[in-house]
Amino acid sequence: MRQLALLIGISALALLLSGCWNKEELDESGFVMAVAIDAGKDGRLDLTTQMYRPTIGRKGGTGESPSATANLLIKTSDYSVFEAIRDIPIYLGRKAKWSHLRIILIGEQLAKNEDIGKLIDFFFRDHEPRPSVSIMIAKGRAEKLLEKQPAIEQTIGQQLLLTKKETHRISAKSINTTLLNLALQVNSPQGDAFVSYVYEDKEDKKMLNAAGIALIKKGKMKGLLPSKKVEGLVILRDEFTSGVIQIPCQDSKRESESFEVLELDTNVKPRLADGKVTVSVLSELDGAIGELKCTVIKTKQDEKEFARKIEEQIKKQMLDTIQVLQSHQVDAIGIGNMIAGAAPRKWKSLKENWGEHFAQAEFNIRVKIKLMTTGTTIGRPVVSWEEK
Amino acid sequence: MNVKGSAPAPAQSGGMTGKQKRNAEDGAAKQPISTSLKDNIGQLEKIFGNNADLIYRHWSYGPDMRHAACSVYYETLMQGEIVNYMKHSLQDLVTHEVGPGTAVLPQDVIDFFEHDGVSAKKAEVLVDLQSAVNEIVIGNIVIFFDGWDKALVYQSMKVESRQITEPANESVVQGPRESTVENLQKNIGLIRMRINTPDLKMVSQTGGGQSKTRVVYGYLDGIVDPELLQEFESRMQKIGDYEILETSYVEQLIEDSTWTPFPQFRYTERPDVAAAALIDGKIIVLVQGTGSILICPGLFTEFFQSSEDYYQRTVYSSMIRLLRIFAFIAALTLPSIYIALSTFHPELIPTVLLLAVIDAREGIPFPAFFEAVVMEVFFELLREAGVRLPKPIGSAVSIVGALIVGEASINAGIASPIVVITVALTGIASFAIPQYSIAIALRVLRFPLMASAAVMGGFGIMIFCLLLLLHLCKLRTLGQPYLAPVAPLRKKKLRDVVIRAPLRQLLQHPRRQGPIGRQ
Repeated sequence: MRQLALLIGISALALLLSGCWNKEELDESGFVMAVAIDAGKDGRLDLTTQMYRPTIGRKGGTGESPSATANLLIKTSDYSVFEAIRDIPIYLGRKAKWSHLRIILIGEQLAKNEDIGKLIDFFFRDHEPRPSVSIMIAKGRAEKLLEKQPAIEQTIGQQLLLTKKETHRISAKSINTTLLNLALQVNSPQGDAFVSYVYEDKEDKKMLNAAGIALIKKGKMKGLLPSKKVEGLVILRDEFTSGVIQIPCQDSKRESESFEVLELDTNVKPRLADGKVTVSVLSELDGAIGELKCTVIKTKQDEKEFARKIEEQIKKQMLDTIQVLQSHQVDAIGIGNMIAGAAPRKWKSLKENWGEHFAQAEFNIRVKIKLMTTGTTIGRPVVSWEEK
Repeated sequence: MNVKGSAPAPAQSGGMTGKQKRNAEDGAAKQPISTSLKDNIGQLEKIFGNNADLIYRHWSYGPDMRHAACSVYYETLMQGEIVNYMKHSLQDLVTHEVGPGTAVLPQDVIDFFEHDGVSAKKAEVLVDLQSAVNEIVIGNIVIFFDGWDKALVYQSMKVESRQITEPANESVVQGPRESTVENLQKNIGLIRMRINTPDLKMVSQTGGGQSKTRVVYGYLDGIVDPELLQEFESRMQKIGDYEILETSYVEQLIEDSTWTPFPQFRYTERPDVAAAALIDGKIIVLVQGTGSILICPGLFTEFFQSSEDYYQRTVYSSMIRLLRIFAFIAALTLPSIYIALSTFHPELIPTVLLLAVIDAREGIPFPAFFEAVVMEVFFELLREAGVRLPKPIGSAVSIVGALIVGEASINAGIASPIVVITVALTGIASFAIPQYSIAIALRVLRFPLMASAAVMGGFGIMIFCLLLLLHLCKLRTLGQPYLAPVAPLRKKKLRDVVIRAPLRQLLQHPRRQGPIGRQ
């Protein structure tokens, strides 16, 4: 018995001979923070990888700002993504490690001409990148965005990721798309998808703007949903966490009051009748008044009036969004999926021309508002010269 | 303790070789004391040889000072004793010294002592020379009377001993501050004082070899598990021939497994802890000449207990108990986790933390494992050095050394700050464990764990911890499973393991079944 134990023990030592298959010191690999894919010459793909460059002189606290040298861009080019990735050590001298990849940027040109799925297949198959990596489509060439300085984070990859996430969460002007939910969307019965869109700010070239959504049909980018219309989409998809609704004043178009939405629940129910799709949408929301400029609320009647105005505004926003979606024939709301889930046989007949069916669908929207608070007890602009 | 008759132990005298001693012993064994004083003294001189501190004090007494007697004793073992035992022996026979004192005859002495007359200091009567030798060696005074074939022995051993002070290693904020000293009588007294019941048995056993130290073990009859006691006693029998210089000798001679870093018995230098252990059904061992009390058996979960746990309230004690368990895990695995995560599993580290770690590690010439081992070894060196230095300098050197060398190596770029932090935290965590013996077990185990983390990453840590668990499950202490009451699971006994149950529950539970309990 003792000999058997000894034998097992010694043969377990043979595990040591396997040579530490995965062992890599932290300073032997380059950690990739962001990657950008663009269209290159002759049908090649230009891959720009942003690595984190560690600052050695951190001991005493040097005068150099860390972000100046923290970003390192490696540009490689080849016919497939994987091959381009294997070219990285040629320039860097270290193997790239994808486990902390934050964001994948795809150039607009490439997105319009190529099927996105073909570009990002590597990131699904390799064991290192996580499915929670964010994906965005960049206006112009994606690599230009990686060359910018991050506004407040350590690396541009981190910056872009957080900008997108927080925009979705706080102002509802973008939707957070990750590899996982892109895959889910494209593999869903109707196959249309959307990806967040990022571009340079028009005035300040150094800042990046992450509002807006690119609409994907059959894997290729078909159109753009501008930032103002994204709110409607977020409401329709019931992914609204927090945001502000602007209500323009009746008298002057330039003045708008604002209303902060605290909670929003949307119920979307499609119905199929004689080959025509009708969708009834019910949105219930709780909110608070953000700013008052031209309305005076003195009585309960006034309050109801104001609430109705807000309801109208929200409805209008949703209809605007739907109009844009229908013009591109991209079902970003997911109505096709709902029909496929509820009535699979009927879906089979609609599947072929779903885009057209969607474009002709009729939407009945109802909005119900509960005004929680007005902030103060004064029902008019608090500091105001106008007559009381 | 007075041994009547000869004890089967080899003679001990300076100046003779082993073989000669044994021959002398065979000759002296069972040799009766002769009636002639001269013969007795002659024999003793042969046995003891040349000893500067062995005193032969001759007396004369009786009418015309005709009768002779002799006291034999080691003066170094009778320090400060000013009582004249010879006088005592005679004083019992007469009302005062002068006068009829001179009328004492040897026959009076013989009659008085052989019939156990009442005296102020009790004397025992010895029949053979070997027991006289044994008594002299212990420090008692033996008086030979010319014309009597027996000798008198008085208990006179007195050597300077330390005062009872505060415990050095086990101080508490609240609770008794008495610690044991080197004198066995005082120690036993401190324990008996706390348990006032006839069930407390203190059994004595003489060690063997050259030291013949007195070893005493105690238990509470009726509470201790009889099988446990039997096992313990059989082991104690087997060590009868060895010299026992300290309680740790007893521990090392009767323990179940020598080749394990984990201690199987607990130590304490506080009598109140020993008393609590006795009430819990444990057996304690004390040795003459040292203040450490051995508590057997020692279960793994008990090494996280300290006496302070019981003198504080439940909520606080439970929290501190959890903290200690966490400290144990941290002290064992922290450097290994650092090595495994940074070399095998960087994807587990959150990105922002990873960037900080990369910054710290860039430019360090050594691999993470080497760095960690070097810093750990250095820390161990510091600790050892701190122990050897005299008290006022010792702690200062440890702290200053660690701080300065740590700082300097970071600035030189030899070690990364993360490793220094890890090593410091590990050291601090290992100090949080109350029992020193298991903290040193951790120090031993940390290095193989680091090695297996460096070779196989998280998988290696898991394998090592599994092997460790297997080993712990197999380990026995005095025949009891080491991981009881966790494995085998005894739910009722789990009250004192992770949390410290309120005292009402701890005291109520019938302890008669011993630590493991057969319900």
